Amino acid sequence: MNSVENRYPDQNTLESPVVLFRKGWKAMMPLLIGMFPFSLITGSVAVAKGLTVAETFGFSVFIFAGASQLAALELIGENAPIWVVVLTAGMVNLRFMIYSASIAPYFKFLSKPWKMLCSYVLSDQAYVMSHNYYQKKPQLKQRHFYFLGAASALWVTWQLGCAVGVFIGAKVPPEWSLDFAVPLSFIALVVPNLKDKASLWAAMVAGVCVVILAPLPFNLGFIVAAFAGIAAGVLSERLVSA
Amino acid sequence: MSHVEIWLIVFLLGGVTFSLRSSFVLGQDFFSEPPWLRKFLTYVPASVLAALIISGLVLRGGQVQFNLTDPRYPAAIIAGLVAWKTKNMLLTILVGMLTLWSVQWCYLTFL
Repeated sequence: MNSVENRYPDQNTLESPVVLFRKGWKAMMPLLIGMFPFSLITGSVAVAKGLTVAETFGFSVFIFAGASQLAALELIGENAPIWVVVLTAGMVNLRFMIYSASIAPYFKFLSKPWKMLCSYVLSDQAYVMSHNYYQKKPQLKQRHFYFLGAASALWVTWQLGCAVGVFIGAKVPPEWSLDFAVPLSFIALVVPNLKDKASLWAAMVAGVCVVILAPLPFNLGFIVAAFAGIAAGVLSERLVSA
Repeated sequence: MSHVEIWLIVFLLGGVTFSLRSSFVLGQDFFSEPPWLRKFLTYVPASVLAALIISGLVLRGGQVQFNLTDPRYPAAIIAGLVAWKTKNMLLTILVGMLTLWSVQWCYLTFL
């Protein structure tokens, strides 16, 4: 027995991949309740914007990122040029780079196919949950199975919710204004994260700029506004710490 | 928008998203993270989502259409308060939709 094993006694009972996978899957359960309506909305909005069933699942399988899918659908509805749709919806996903940077050390010694699989299913919830778990058990072998359990639970729920959304989406009367659930889900995603002044500045500057810059062609106003917001956040952080 | 264009968006955006997700997980063998990047990326969700929310509420086809009687405004404000207080996604969406429907119903009934 070496010193590392002594420091982390429960590592000696080698946890099998199956056990770890199920642990991750179970830990994700409470979050799925909040996630299901979001995926349902994403599926039904896609149908409402005129996408076929295959295209809708193309979105949920190949992109698998709710806020980004909804942003793309909004812009598709406005007939924005393709590069604007991809750039705007892609920007919503820039946060995945932070997660990727943060979780990368835990997957360092995996083979390339495993790294690719873990990357594909990376989501906000799976990242946060696994990150917390790994901080408690840093030496755990086969630890990527915990992440994969949590992430796949979310993936399956996302596809199911999308299927239900496709099924009921076309039958929902327009007076119900279900598409308003899109800005509402953005509010639900962003507002709880405005805890510090810098994030608040980023949000406010971006919100004001998007209105002021609306006359710019090709939705360019949106992208400029997003960068203005980011700059405001970084600047505000600098000024506070200076 | 044509179906070819939509599939093009699916594959391009899918590729972009996978590249972002795998950037450091796959890339860690080749490069180390530039220190300024994290600071920059921290404010991306707040900024981009705020721009999306405001443009969805105030803009129509690139034009500013601000109408104070729009029932979506009180619904968005109340949903924002619920999100702030509870951090509950499901509750935020439900309360926002219920507020929207209530205000719409009031307009139809009393105006």
